[in-house]
Amino acid sequence: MTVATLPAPEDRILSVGEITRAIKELLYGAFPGQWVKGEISGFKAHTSGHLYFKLKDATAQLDCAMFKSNAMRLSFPPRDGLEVEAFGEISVYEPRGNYQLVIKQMRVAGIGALLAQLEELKRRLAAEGLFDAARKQPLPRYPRTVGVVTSPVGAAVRDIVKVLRARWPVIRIVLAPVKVQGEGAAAEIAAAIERFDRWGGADLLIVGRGGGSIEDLWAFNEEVVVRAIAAARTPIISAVGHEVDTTLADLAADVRAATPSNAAELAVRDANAVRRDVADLVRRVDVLVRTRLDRLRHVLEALLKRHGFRRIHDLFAYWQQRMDDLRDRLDAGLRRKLGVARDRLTRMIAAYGFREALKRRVAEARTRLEPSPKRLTDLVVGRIHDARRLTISLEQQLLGLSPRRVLERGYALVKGPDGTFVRSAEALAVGDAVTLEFARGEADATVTTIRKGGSDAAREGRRRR
Amino acid sequence: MPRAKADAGDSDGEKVDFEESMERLEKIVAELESGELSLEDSIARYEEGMKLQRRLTEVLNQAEKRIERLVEKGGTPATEDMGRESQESNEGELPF
Repeated sequence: MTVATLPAPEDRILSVGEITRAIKELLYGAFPGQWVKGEISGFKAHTSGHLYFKLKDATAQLDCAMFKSNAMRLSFPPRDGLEVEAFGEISVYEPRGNYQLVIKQMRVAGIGALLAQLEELKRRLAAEGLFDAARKQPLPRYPRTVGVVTSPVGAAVRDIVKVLRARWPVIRIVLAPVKVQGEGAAAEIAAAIERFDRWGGADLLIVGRGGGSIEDLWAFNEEVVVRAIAAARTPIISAVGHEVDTTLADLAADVRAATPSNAAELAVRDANAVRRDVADLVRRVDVLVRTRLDRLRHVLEALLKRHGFRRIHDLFAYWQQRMDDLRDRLDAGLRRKLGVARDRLTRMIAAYGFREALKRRVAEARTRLEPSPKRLTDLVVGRIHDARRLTISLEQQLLGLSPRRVLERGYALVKGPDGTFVRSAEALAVGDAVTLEFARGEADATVTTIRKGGSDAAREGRRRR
Repeated sequence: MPRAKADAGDSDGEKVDFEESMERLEKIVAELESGELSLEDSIARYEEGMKLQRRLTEVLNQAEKRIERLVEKGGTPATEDMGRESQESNEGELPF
């Protein structure tokens, strides 16, 4: 019998709680922090944000819990069947009396080796200079055509197209649809980049995909993709996963975008901002030219006020005065000429009888005036009146010229013995009988003395009379 | 924007290059700011600037609606139409 192995009743009897706590401490002491590898099963994400599942292998299974604060830092979405490596401590859940692994970190199994390989590749390509800043090409400011290398399905391509169109509606988008994860993805991506480069029609490329686990993004870490990006002559914006994910493709690209939408924002400017820029430039052109014209106008005005220009004004005034003077003299000359003409007219009238002449002139003037406008008619009619007044005054002058009228002024006509008027003293001899004809009446006289002389003497003689 | 052909097309000489026009406009402003131009040249630049503005605004007001696909045709890269982008749906359902 093994009765002796039974403890004495009074010796050490533990409550359930006591023994559970003892087990808890024992296990915690044995496994304070431990990596465990297994396959996820019975995965459950609680609304609280905590994750509950089992890790299992062919022989056993282990309850696991991952609390929200740690679960949030996972770089992949856990799911049933996924092989993982989890790090945590063994804890006992007292209410149920079972033990579990409380996971602090978890990664996809084998990722450690993968990450080591990645580091090695990164080091090698960096040594070749593929990530050098000096290799980066500037992006065109106003691309006309954007090439997009990504999956034709999913949010990434939609985001890229939507943002490109919203910002720069005229942009031409050419898509190279590729597999972005799984078997053959890297080769397709590299080939598409190379094809775009050979085509030459794209001003820049966006290469990328939406977020995913580190394995989902793996194609963008592969050497063939990195080399294609580095070799491309077309500038490339990479947009792989989210902000936190950095792939070797990102390091080789000319510009790295945080997300696909962000890549589209970096690719094209916002048309509204450009519109404002254009308006601003044009306003500056306008202001500059206007300012220049205003300045020139002021300079011109200032010049006009200066002495030199005032002198020109004075010169003008001088010439004006001279012209007035000359005009006055010209008028005087004309008037003199007019006097001569008048005299001629007087003679003409005396010869032909001016009334007939005047009638003829008026008739001529009338016929010339027929088709003329009224103002001209008035003008000429005025002239005719003037002419009439002139002729009346001439008529009076002519009357004044009548010898009888002359006699009224105290002159006398001398008739010689032959009855003709005597015009010269030379025509007479001493003792000649002459007749003096006055305005009223006549008188006979005898010549007693003759004083001969030239015309001057004759004129003098006449004046003296 | 009407485009003659959907292949390796940077040979559309007639089409105004937006970037060149923008740079030209910026240069005109710089030249005018330098104040070294003759009056005649200033006026000429002014007129050119206004012309550039019309062209640039024209481009800004245009909109492309198609998406093309890059393919290989007889060993040479070429593009083909993938169809029009849907206009009403904000979901941005692409025609592929």
